[in-house]
Amino acid sequence: MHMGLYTTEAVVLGYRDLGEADRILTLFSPERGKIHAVARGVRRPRSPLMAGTQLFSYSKFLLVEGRNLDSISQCELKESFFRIREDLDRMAYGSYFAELLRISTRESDKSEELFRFFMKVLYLLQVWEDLDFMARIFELKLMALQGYTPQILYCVNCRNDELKEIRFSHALGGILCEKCRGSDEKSVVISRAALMMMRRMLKGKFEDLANLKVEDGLKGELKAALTGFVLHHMERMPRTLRFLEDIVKISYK
Amino acid sequence: MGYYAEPIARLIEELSRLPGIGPKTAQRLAFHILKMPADRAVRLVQAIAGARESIVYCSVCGNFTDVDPCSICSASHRDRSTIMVVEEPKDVVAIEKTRDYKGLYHVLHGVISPLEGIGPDDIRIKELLSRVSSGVKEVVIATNPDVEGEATALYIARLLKPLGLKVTRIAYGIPMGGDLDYADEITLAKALEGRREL
Repeated sequence: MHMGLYTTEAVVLGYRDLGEADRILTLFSPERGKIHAVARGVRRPRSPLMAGTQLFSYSKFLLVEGRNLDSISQCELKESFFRIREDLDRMAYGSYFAELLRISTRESDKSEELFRFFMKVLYLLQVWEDLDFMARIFELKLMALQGYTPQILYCVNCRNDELKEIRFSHALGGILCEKCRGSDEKSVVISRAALMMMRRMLKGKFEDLANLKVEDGLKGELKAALTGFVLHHMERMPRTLRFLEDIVKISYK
Repeated sequence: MGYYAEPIARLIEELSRLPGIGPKTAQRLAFHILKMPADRAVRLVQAIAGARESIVYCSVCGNFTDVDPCSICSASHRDRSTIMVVEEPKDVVAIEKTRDYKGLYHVLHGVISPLEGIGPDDIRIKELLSRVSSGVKEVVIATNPDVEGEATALYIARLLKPLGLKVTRIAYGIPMGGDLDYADEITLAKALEGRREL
């Protein structure tokens, strides 16, 4: 690999403090996929890198290739998404979305489609009302984009599409009919309404789903099916999930 | 191996564990200590050991202190109806230097970080909750204006507001003696939002 400079647009998915004043950022770029890069001195006040390297910031970066890690030489903020960071719930859900994207993407696995999807999610997250439902759509659509579209048209085991009692299997990645329930003992029962909603979530445009009113019972079913499905396919438990639970405990809305 | 006599190597290794001290600085400090008059080296050792032995956390605010409760928590002239929440003991020092704040403190010893999996139960938020019941009117949140500090501030505000307390956040803006040209868009927007009539 030759050493060199390159510019790329990217969104900040996460970071980790390094030494006294540095930070290792996880960036997601349409041209290069997931990049780890050092931002030197970024924790000092008045660092010129500060604004463009905050969580969720969408910036144009000038990077220097290094032997182990690239480092950020300059960055110019394009969109800060600070409305996400200003609201505790949006910030918590945004961190969860960023972490799911981070763990489900391999290094330098580039995908413009995935990048555009995530940018759209950040724009929508600034104004979306029912964040719990939004998280379910994100989980389903992210998995589909990552190549794990669940089979929700017919039984994943026998292709039977005449469904009476419907179950969702995290491990098999789809629905099971009554006869095939034994093929995954851990599968969860879902209602026909939940299955219909999942089909709609998978097919529909993200922004078109914003005004749907979903009742709590249905949201509970979707959570059991989809969050379970996502977690089954992640290499590790997302850390941000704990914070989401902490926040739910004190929400008074 | 074997550039240094074993005690020197050990000294360098211990020094290089300190924040901001790399191997080169550690070596320079070690040789400096060896050249010091013996009694000054002893005083350094005693100062370190003495601080470690006598300093405890204040049982009220969580700050470092040699008497419990600390001198701020037990001072009669301080305003007991106001508590300022800060991340670390060094932040108490920074605010005290302004001489403008007369209330009490609460040191969290950390900050909520969803990305690192550090939650509200990992820092001293429960302790804050048990303090605010007795005559406290205002809680000033002075955590850093970064993602974690903001999340912590918003979390505490949501926790305390239903109790009928006034919860305030220190202002965001342009640093004194700073240059508008170098401020980022978010800071400028925040400074504009918090503008005051002259």
